[in-house]
Amino acid sequence: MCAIKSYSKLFLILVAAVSSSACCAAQKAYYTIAGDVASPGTYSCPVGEPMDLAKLLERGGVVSDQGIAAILRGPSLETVSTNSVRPDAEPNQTAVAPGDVVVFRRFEPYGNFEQHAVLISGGMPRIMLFSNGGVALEQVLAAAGLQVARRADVVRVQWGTTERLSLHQSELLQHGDVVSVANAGPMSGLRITDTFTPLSVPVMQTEVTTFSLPRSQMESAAGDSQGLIVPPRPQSATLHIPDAFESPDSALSTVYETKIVSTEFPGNSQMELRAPESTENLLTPFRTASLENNLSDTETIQLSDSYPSATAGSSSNAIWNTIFVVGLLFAAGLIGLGWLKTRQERRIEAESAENLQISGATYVAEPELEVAEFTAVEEVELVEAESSRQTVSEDCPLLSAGIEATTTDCVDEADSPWEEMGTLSAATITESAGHETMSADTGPWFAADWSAAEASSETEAGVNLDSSTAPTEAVKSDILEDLLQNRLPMELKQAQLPLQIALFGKPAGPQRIRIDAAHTTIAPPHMASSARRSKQKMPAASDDVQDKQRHRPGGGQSTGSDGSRFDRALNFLEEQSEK
Amino acid sequence: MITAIDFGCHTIRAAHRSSAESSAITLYSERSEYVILPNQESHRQALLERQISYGACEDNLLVFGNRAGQVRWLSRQPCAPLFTDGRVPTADAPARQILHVLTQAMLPESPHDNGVCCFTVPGGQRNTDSTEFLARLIRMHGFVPAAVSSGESALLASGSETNFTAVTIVLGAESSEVSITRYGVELASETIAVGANWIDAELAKQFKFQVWDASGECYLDLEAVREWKHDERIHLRHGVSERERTLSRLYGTMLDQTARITRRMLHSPAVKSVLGNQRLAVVCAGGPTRIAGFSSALAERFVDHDVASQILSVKTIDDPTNAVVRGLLIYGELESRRRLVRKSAA
Repeated sequence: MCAIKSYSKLFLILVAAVSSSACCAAQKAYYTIAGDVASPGTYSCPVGEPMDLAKLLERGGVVSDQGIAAILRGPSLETVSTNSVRPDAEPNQTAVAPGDVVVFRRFEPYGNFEQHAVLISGGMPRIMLFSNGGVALEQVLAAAGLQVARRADVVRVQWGTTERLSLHQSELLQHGDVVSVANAGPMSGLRITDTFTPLSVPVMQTEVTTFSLPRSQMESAAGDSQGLIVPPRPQSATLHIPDAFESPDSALSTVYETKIVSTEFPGNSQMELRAPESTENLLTPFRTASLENNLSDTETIQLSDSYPSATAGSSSNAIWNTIFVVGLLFAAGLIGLGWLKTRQERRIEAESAENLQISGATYVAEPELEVAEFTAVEEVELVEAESSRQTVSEDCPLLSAGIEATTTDCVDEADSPWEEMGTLSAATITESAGHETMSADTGPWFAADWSAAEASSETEAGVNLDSSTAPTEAVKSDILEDLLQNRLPMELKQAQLPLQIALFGKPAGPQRIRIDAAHTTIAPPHMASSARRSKQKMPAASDDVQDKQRHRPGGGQSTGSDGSRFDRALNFLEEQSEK
Repeated sequence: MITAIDFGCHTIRAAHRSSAESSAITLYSERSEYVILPNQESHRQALLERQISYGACEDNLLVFGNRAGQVRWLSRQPCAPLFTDGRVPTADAPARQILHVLTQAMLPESPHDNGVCCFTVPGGQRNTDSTEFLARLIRMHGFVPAAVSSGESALLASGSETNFTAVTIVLGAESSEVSITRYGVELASETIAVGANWIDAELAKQFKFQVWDASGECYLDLEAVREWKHDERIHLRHGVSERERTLSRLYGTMLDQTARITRRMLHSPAVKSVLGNQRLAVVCAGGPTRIAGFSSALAERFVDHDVASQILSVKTIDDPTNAVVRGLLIYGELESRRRLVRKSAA
């Protein structure tokens, strides 16, 4: 089995390497950016070309905004990175993998952005534009031609945190949400172009108008509209759903009129796609806001939904892709088989280690047969055996849960090592696998194959068999699992406190706030006190003030011992009035 | 029988699950505070008529637990905490006796097989005096005490999705605990002596939440702050009034300290050597995490401290107040199994 495993792994690596090298030539890597960006959409670049967050944000139109960008990856849209984006900081070099979805949220919650959500189905992200603050999930799925599911997983990124929701079909999607439909395939980001509808489909027969204008004329024509050109949409609808939209694939290979929308980056123009009149309904709902395209002089491109279509007539690619798919299926099968095998081995090993007690022998569990539950294949190494047969390998199904069986004279009258060792607590009970054969590496009576049924009939089994152990363990495991998964409800009860108890000591009580320091004596108001009285009965607080005044540089000299000038003036007036 | 008790500075929670009633967990919850009433006959009569338990000491009547808040208006004094400054008080003998009474009432009847009772210590296990006192209380009721950190408990309660590898932040009333755990093994932990009570006290000071008793003594009215704070409309990121903005600032200060400590722990050699550059999920528990916008505010602090690249996600546990006691139960279950195996091996 080990050899098979290693061969299968080797084969898997080979298949993967051959297939990937074959497909890379026809593949492009796709990156999606959404959220508070001017140009949400899916962008492509050749496989192998490094892509970082700064580049992707730049393509999305994030130039001087400040916010947080979250990178979602994989079919489950795990948040692999949350990055702070600031215009004054260095460009963020965080690597973005093919297929990643970057959601950018500005610190300023408001902005002039088109509201949209990202719908991922079959590994293909699409930008869904809507208005009026939100759109029902049901509408989005129906518009995408998908079977309307009752619930769908939605990833909502706000302030750098990723919230995972399971929205009902009637609930509203918000701006920047990423919807992952349940039947979505693995989102690898690398797509085989031949799997899309080839160019020879009848859609190519759509009558279109093609313009071939020099770039200078195009730029002058677009001079008055530097912003995004939004295709006409019904004003009242919350989601721009076409009247006759059947499938995203039906929009493949449609030729659209393009227009330059930005002249800031002449070498890497952002092209806005606008459908001709005949195909307007097809394009309107799922318009990719912008699509990178290196156009030369002609302003006509072919749009394959949001992905470019295959190179026509590449039969070799089809062969390679078929090989790739077959290889992948085979590899997946091998992986699944190995996983099942490993799980079985671990379980049996754990059970055997707990329950099998081999006296006088070293037990090495090496299960190799996949049989029914409670079966295992073991290799028992006999250490203290006096016989020359030191190692016995058994391949027999056994009941491993809490069994201590004594094996004696299993086959014939030949000398058995078990007898020499005394009692061996190895279980050799067959449960139901009557066709399993038991063989041994060495030993005269192990040399011949023998049926497990015979072994079971000649084995003393059931010694110390505690049949209640296994269910108890199972129940305990269930309880622990329930506790871990928080499945056990909590019943809140009122504690029965004694009604009256005697306590000893003095309670400390709550902490008091002292607003100000306590005054031992309260100073009389200056108005009511004469100079002499105030001099005699100077309160403590006033003493402090006078001390401060004395220590102040230049202070105390001018005021004199009677207090302030104001007080002296008042006293003078008082004396005058008495006279 | 597995029993757990979470000695919190705001609430004491005890939970147990007997083997016969394994379908549910029985939970007891009592406020860890008491109120002082004058020892008057009218007060005694009123308490007895309403079946409110109380303790009599010297010239006072002490009402403790959940009913303390209901009768505090009789004395116009706020409630006094059983754990002063986040630890078992040494100068408050009645408070220690009340702790004994509450523990006795909340723990189930003592088992015959010396069942495990896991418990948390306010202020962390490094507070040895409190640990010893509380362990003795539990031992007096026939249980074998096992002190567990609140961070470890919270992770056990919620870490099944993250393979028990996460940064756990448990915000309490008097202290907060940050711990980093890998596969259930705690790599580093730190306790901060700042909790929700600090925020409440600062708010009460700045906005004059005060009460006066009959003798004119002034107290901070923390209960009023808590009542205001539990308003669901309050959002940490969208403060409308000056009070809400102050609350955001105070939370920000606390979370800033938490993020700084998390960064220091993540960059410590002990953690770095084990985890490398592995991204960790952050799991938050405790009463203060229930406020709206908490996760966002914490994530922002992580961004400010350049830790965001090492953080996978920030998540608040669904039931943050009871998470610790649930985790204690899980720990107790594991501990009892370990003891069973050890006993059978012996």
